[in-house]
Amino acid sequence: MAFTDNCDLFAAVHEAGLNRIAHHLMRQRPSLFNYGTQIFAELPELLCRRIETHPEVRRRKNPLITIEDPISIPGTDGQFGLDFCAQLTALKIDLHPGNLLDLPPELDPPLKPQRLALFAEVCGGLICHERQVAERTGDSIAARAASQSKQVTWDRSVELPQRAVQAPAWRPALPKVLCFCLEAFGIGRFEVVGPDGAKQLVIRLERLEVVDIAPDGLESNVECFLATTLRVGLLPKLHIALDTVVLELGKLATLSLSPTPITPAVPNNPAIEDELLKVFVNVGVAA
Amino acid sequence: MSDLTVAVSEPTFKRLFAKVRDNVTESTAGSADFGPFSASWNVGFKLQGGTVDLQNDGTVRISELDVVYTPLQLSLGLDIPEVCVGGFCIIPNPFGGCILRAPRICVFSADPDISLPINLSGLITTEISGAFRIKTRYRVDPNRTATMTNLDAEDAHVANKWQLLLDPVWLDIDPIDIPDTVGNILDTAINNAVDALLGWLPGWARDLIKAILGSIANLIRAILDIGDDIQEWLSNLLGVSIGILNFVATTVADYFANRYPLFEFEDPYPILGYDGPLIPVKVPVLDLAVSVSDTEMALTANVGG
Amino acid sequence: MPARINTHALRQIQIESGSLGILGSLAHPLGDEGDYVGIVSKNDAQVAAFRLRVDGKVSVPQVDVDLAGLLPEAKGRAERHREPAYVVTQKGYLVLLVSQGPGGFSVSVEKVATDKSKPQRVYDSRSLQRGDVFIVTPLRPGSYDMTDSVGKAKGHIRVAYPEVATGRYEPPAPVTVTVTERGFNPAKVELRAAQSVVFQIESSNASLIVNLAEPDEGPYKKGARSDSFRWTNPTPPGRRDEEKTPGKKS
Repeated sequence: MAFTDNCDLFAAVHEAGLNRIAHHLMRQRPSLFNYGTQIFAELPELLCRRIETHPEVRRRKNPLITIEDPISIPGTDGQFGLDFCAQLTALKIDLHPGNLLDLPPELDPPLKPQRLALFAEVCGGLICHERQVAERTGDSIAARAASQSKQVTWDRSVELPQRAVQAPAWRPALPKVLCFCLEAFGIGRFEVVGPDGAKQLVIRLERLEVVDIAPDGLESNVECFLATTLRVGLLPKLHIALDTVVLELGKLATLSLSPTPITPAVPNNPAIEDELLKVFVNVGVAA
Repeated sequence: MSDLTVAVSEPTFKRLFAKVRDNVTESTAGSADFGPFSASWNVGFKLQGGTVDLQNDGTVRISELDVVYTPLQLSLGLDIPEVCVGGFCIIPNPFGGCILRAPRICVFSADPDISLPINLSGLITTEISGAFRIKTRYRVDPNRTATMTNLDAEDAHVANKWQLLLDPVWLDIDPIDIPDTVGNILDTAINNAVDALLGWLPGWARDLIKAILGSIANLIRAILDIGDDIQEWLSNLLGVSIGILNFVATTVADYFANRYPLFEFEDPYPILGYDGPLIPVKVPVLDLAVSVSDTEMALTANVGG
Repeated sequence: MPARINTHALRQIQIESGSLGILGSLAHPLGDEGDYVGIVSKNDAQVAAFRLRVDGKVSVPQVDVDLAGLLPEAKGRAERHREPAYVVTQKGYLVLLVSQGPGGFSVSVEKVATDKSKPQRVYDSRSLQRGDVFIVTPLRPGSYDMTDSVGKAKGHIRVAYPEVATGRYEPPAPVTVTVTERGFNPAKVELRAAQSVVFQIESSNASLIVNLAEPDEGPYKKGARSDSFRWTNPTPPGRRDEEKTPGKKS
């Protein structure tokens, strides 16, 4: 039986290849997998996990992290926040039938057909300030709010922001980051999305389970946050053009590519089976 | 199990081949002396049509690929013999030889040249068939300097590439097929040349020269050694003497095997392009291999670490 | 190299022994051994000279002197002031010919005296002698008159129109005409295209002229073929009348 019995072009990636590709992604586009406030961009040694990068990242002065705003502290009217970092430090993909990862019971193993299993290690941490700094800051904010015209003496060690959330200015000594790491497992599938002529291959996350968090309510919230971050923030940026999947054959021969329609002969497209991600493509007449 | 597998169906393969075929175009010019006449030429060709079949033995069979010769401009140069009268013996020597011989009077002298321009562009075709193996080649662009990183090379459009090329196992070229109309073209060229040479003379002088030379057209044919079959003569002149068939064969072989890949992609392969200042994500590809069956061509490769 | 067509050969319609051109050559038998000088005149003006030695020990039966080639303008710079020298056997022939140009040549031959006395003229081509051979090749088809202006003989030559066939045409062997005091024998000559006449001079003195009396144009006779091309107005007669009146609408 030939690969192209039911299509014009066929592409398949083995899970080992997918994992190597994921490794390259993490090394060459670190800012997709590492987030933090400005201080972490300036002092990457504060990060919970050292970022391994391809030499070209530093040579071309690409950012190691995506800079985010500090976490706003309630009751400060958005004027005070905490520095944080969040990193996806490990990523593994296991394709059906699934032999690389041991799924937790919450995800109903074994891995179902046409599904992929994900493992991710997520590390993060806050820079938590000393009690005195927090108290002084709180007093200043309150005093400012109370007094509208009087001259208020500020504690010069505390710079209050005039605009968006800002973290307090750091002191000469390196602040301490309260790092933690979580392990998360997920179930997902591949999809081909997009308009005709611009089809993309994307990963859809169906379920996420974070291991060893208590109580359950906290676990659910963390899972929600992580899953939303993946679905909204990370995975959409990892789309790959259909033409790229077949090594740009379409561009070379000015072919117009489209996914092979679902038929009994091609019941799934893309398909995840035999530890392979398979994509079936039809070729049309180029415009 | 390879990390990557890409397979191309036979009909899609034919589309890839058509792209390569349509880009094959080459020309050559030259001249040669064939003794009684000389020839100069400007010959070019392009490819059309042809059927492509993938074979279970791993080869690609291409049949009846049309070679259309355009331009195909020939110029034949030949000498018309002197036209002289006289030179006969007036008083023979009874012991042999001649005691008194009349001088020769030459009406045509200095071995005049006739040039016959013949334009056969688009009129002549030949067919090529052949068997090819698909070979892989890792090409390092000669313009890439040693100090360039892979990203520098991509930016400068001199990235390394994996290429798939059609390596000929054998090529057959049919003899050049000369249509009947070519005979008329040659006759017209001859008549035009004779008219140019003699047309300005008074009628009786033209006829005198033609009488002495015989039919100049026939004379020219005799000089060119055309014989009864002008098509066969021209086919031989073009194919063998001028060497067009060899030119076509070597050009086609070189084009497919070396100059125009069936398919190529960059290495490392960019799976994500530039995103503003963010560099592309490039994945090294190793161990590219190709296999051919009668229904498809399959590529396999591994992702480097 | 472009064609060089000898247009003088094609244009010559009068061939004279006293004024040699391309189509008429003269062969004169040489007698005594010794050194001679040939003085070449063109249209009665002296233009060149050559030396000639008659030597019984050599075996050269004839010497061809191209009178047009002796002209200064026909020679290279190095040869311009040199008189060419020829050697021929006793009883050999001096052949005078003209290879190019309009002709008009005559030659007188003088024997160089051994005792340094004045050279003695022994021959003048304007007056043919017994033993001379005058070779004529009239190229243009038609009727020619042949006359001997000394002996008053007259005759007629007819040159046929060339027949163009597929094979090459070889003119037949020349016709020989004897010139005596009694006239030409034969007096009427029929020639094929490019065939020559060899006049054998048996009179003591002769001067021959062959002159085109009536050309034969063959298929190019005037009136024999119309070269005009008729164009007919495609507009019907009625409309043609309307167009003659400007401003009138149809």
